[in-house]
Amino acid sequence: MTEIDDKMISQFFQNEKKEIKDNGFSNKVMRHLPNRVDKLSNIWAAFCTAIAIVLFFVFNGLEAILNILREAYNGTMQSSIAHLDLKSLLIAAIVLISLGVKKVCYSD
Amino acid sequence: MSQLNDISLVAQVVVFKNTKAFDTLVKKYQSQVRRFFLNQTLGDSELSDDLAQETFIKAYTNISSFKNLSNFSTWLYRIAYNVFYDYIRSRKETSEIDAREVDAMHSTEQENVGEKMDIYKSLKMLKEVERTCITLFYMEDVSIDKIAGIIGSPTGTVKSHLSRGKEKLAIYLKQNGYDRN
Repeated sequence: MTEIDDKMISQFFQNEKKEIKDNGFSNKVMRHLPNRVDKLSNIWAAFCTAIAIVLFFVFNGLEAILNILREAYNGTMQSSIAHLDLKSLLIAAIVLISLGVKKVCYSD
Repeated sequence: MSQLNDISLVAQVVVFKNTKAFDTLVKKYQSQVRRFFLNQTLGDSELSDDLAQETFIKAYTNISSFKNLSNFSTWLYRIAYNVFYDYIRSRKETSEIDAREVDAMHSTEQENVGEKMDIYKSLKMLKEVERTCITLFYMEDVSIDKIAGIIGSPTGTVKSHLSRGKEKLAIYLKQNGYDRN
């Protein structure tokens, strides 16, 4: 490997060295940055939330929810008083107590 | 001055998530990163741009790990080198063919670019790591110490890659009449 060879190779590579024009490459990179993707999804989520809030008030959502809750409460109270099963209630209570005791013992 | 400017831009990206500052860095280094990949892929411009894009996205997501121990460009080359070798490894795993065959495949895919230019013909004769060392050293003017940092090898290993690469290139260039220039 002579100095002449070294010069020849160096000159060859310097002659072949070309600047590459951007041609939209940077913009493409910037569009794919994760932060930008997050931003777009945040904007989309905010837009959907705003639409949901507007529709909620337009269709009187608050009243509808109150009605459903009232009906559910009334229904539950009536059926639970009428069909109260003491045996099931007792089993459920025993299971819950045993699970609680187990949790307390193991955590110690 | 340029180094200081880079540090200021990196700081703006890290602290304020300033994408405009990162855009400036992309615009500044896009040419050398894309040229690095063009040389590694023997002129496959589409693949080069994809790998270069991946490099910049990785740089952005890991920019807080840039500790200013090296130039920003050296740090970027290190990412680019890892991106390229991840790509080579993934190709090897999926197709069970060695990297030289991958290179040959790309050079034929991009015949219009790769086959027309002596630079890619000459680089095709080198092993990947020799190609990396040679192009960084002769085309991008990166010092041997920095190349060692980029490829994660001792300087002695870089010197032997350069020496073997130079021998092969000298023979090729002489055969093609470059010694008469």
